Amino acid sequence: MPPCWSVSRNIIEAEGLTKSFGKILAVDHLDLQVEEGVIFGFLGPNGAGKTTTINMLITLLRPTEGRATVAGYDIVREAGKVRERIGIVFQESLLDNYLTGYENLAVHADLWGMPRSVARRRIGELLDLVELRERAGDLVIKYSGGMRRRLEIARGLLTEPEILFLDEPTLGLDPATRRHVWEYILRVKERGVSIFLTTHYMDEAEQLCDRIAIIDHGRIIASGTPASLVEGLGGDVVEVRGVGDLQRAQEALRRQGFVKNVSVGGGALRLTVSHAEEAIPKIVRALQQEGLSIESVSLKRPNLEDVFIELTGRGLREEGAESPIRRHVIMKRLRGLGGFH
Amino acid sequence: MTGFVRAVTTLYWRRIRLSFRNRAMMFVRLFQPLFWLVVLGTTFNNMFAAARGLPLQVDYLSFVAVGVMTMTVVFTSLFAGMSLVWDREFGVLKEFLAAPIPRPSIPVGNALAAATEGILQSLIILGLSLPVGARLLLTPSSLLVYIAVSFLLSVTLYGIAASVASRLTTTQSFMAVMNLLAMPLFFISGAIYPIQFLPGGLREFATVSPVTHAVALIRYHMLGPASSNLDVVWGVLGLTPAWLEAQLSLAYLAAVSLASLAVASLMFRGVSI
Repeated sequence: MPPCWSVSRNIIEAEGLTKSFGKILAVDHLDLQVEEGVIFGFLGPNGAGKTTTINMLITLLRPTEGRATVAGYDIVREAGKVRERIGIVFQESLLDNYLTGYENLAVHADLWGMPRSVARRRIGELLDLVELRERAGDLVIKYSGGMRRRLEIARGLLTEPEILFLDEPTLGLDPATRRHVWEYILRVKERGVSIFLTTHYMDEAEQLCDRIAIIDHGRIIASGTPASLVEGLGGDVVEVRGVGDLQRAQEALRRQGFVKNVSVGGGALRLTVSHAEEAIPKIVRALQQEGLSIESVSLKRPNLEDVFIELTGRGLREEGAESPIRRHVIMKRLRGLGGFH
Repeated sequence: MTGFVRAVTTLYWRRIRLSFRNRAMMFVRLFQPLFWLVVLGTTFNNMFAAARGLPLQVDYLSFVAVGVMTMTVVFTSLFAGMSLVWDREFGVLKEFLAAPIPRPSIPVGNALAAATEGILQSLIILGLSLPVGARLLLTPSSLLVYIAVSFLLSVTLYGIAASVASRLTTTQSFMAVMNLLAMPLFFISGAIYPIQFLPGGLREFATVSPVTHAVALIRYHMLGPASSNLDVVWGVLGLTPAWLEAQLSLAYLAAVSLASLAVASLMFRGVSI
């Protein structure tokens, strides 16, 4: 029951949601509330449990423990009702390559039991929304990665869902296409559809999300608005570029009391400190003692990436980014592989 | 129920569209049965003519034409299960698994599409066997029985293929299993020689194989009761009139096809992503 003073209700509610595969605990007693009408970002490194959580919420996986409702219906007992009310864009590209864009949408409308006349109108509308009307008669095999994604977004919206699930919507897309896809996602929000999105791209979360939960090892380790999470960091981020043994420099800085966190990446040291003005001279001195020749010191606006490093001690993308499965998924997306059916 | 029917029709038309867009593959599939018919059929025909002939009051070419027509159905149906593995490997299956439809509509819709394809391919072989020299009795009723029998056989084999496909995730493993199935079904069925020449053990296997019953039934109607070999097929149970044997074979095929489809539906209920 939502409190009586609240205008909006929760489109997703989860309590102690858990999924284990044998001995591996993929999702560990997750509690989640997602308000209606927002873009909710579910962030975490690869293998954190994002997709497993989505698969439970869309009724493709049965939770081992705990319960959840989506659009007011229980994901286990009322799976059919949940399915009728949600739209999904999966991580991998799931289109029939040898059907046209229009036919792909028509098959979806039929499976969801939409009346033909309604379906025809909706398909036209959504093809306009994702700007694919002109290419609707082409086989999907001829589409680019961005076009495929847009068609999938259109498909996810076809049955007028109350909530759209987007699992890594821009994985493997080039920067320009990603920005384009973001635009469509924001347009979807304007239509009043709630969005639940997983991503391991920090910029994506910052650009799109109203609320964020960070998940690691199957547990939520932080949640809030992007701004509040960054503020919660309680400090400044200093980036130092230099030539020398960065690993050793990192160790040395870690021993300094005023340094809250330090990481190495892309030939630079990234430090979180409470007061940059006072810290910078100390950092410079410490690094010179370690024999590092400093090229530049810059003060950065902290972002979600820093929040993540602060919370987990590692970068979002450094782990598992090159796992074979991930590469397989990306290659599939890029090539639009499908073959004959 | 309406939801089930609608899902089945949707998945049926999707599969038919995809198959017919890939016409090259359909022609490739026709080559093998055609090869059997022309090369094996005419060679053995000459051989049997030089010797004492077949013990079934029919020339070998007509005999084997029915066998090859049936084999076309067998191969098309078994390998049609491949498309399910493709759907799974390339993800589209997930879209169907997430849809608010009864799970069994997935194997059923695709089975109907496989049967359509198998029957069409087989009809082409039938048409081509005539100029090669096969003499078949073509009447509305014999054609109707032939199509019905081909349909039941196709559903049976597609059910097996779909059950296998529901548990295998790679095309390679699926192909390996199908080859393992296709060969014995082909050679131990009476399709290319009468089963009385099979050694003991294999002959018993042949009498329970749905392929044997399908071939015998089509021969019964297209070559005549004396050439059907049904008495050998049902011989184990003692002598019955030929027409009753034909009815029994038809009932047997219907039962097996229903059972096969039921198993496939059950297997699909358990499919997870």
